[in-house]
Amino acid sequence: MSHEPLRDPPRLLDASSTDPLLRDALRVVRTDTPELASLNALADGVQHAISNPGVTTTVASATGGSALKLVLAAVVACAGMYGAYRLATATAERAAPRDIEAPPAAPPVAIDRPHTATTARPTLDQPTAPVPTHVPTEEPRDPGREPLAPSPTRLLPLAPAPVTRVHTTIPHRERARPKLAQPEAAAEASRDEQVTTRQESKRGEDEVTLLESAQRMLQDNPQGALERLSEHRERFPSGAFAQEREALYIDALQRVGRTGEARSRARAFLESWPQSPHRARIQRLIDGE
Amino acid sequence: MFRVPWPMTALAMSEYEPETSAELSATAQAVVRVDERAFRQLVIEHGPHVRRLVRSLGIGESELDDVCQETFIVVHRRLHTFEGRSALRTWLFGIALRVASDYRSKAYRRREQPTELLPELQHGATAEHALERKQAWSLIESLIAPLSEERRQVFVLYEIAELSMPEIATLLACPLQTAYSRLHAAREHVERAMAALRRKEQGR
Repeated sequence: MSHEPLRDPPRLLDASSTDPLLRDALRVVRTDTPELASLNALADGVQHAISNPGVTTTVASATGGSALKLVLAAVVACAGMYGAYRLATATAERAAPRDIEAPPAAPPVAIDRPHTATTARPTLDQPTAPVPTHVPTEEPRDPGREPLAPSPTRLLPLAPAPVTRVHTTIPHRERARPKLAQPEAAAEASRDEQVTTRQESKRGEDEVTLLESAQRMLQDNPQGALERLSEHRERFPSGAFAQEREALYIDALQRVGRTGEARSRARAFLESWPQSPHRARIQRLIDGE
Repeated sequence: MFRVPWPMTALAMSEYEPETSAELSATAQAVVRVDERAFRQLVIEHGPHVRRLVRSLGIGESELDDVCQETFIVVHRRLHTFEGRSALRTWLFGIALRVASDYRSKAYRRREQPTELLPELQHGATAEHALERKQAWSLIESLIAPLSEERRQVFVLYEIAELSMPEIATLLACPLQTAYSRLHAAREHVERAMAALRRKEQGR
């Protein structure tokens, strides 16, 4: 290629002949940078999709355009699984209180669904956890620990903190999925799927199971839930479920009667995650539910 | 620019089976964690560029996050194929182009609503800036929307993403001369459309 006369022309932004309006627009567009919170949300979303083992092998060998489609399909599938996964954890549980006006309506079915199997098989899921940070708090023990005296020491590290992440992407996908009312068989299958997914990803499992256990405790033992959430915060300070954790925490605070604290955290929540899917519910808390 | 041992990234994050991951030594786990952080850094560093590109390729506000996410997922999967023959950003753009293009065609098939109607959630002092951005984007979009995808890509890569023409030609796998003529045609259209807009404004 010897196109000597071909030189990059001045860009429209730099050319004096360009309409000033167009030049301004180009300048603005070129420097349009998302907030750090959005970028964190993006990174979170990517990390989640990646840590789902379903996609990995498919994509690793993919090449070219058609492979890209394969990749996208896998990504969608992955996001779907993940959607169901989270559905079972944070969102589905929150969705009910969001839809129904009554604040204490934490539907036990939705919450328990992902974990009935696990609960029935004590300690099976976490026998050989090699992660050094693994704290001895197994799921199966939760049901037995209902009535508890408050132990405020555990709550301290959970300050609203410099949380700057926003989950915009994943919840978006969740919305695209049918949320509740899975047929029994499908529910069973997805439960199995979830269980294997969890077994495959130890770290993810710990993070999610702990959160789930807090969710299950929320209604009957909000104090216990607070403790779980504090533990979660300690173990996964920059985990991907910070938003769900905080939403649950605020809910639990409200339930144990610490409404002032609940409200101030709710405000911090909205500042940190202005686009959160939990926004409506948290906002209701502030508005004086 | 940030450097990571990419082969290690590929190995640690793509090839470890989840089951074996449970058996990793503490050191190997630490490596995986470092890799996760490194990749996260990559996303945060290059996210804005990818986002701008994807948006200027016609992806609406509401799908922007999804497309960016998918782009980086693909990036992650294909990191091991990055040979450093182009700048990392150019390579990322190549993936973003394909993901966006795929997404757009799917969107057309789904007959998606134009997403510009969805107002951006903004608050306080940023509102004015947000409005300015919104107007700028919508002006650009209205000017380049009629372009063919090929012309639009060249225009956007040159005028917004600020790649050089040879880079663009490489990225789009077309002769340099072709890239130039696409740019020329695109600019001609944009300038004409802009002039028409002005006339319309004055006619009011």
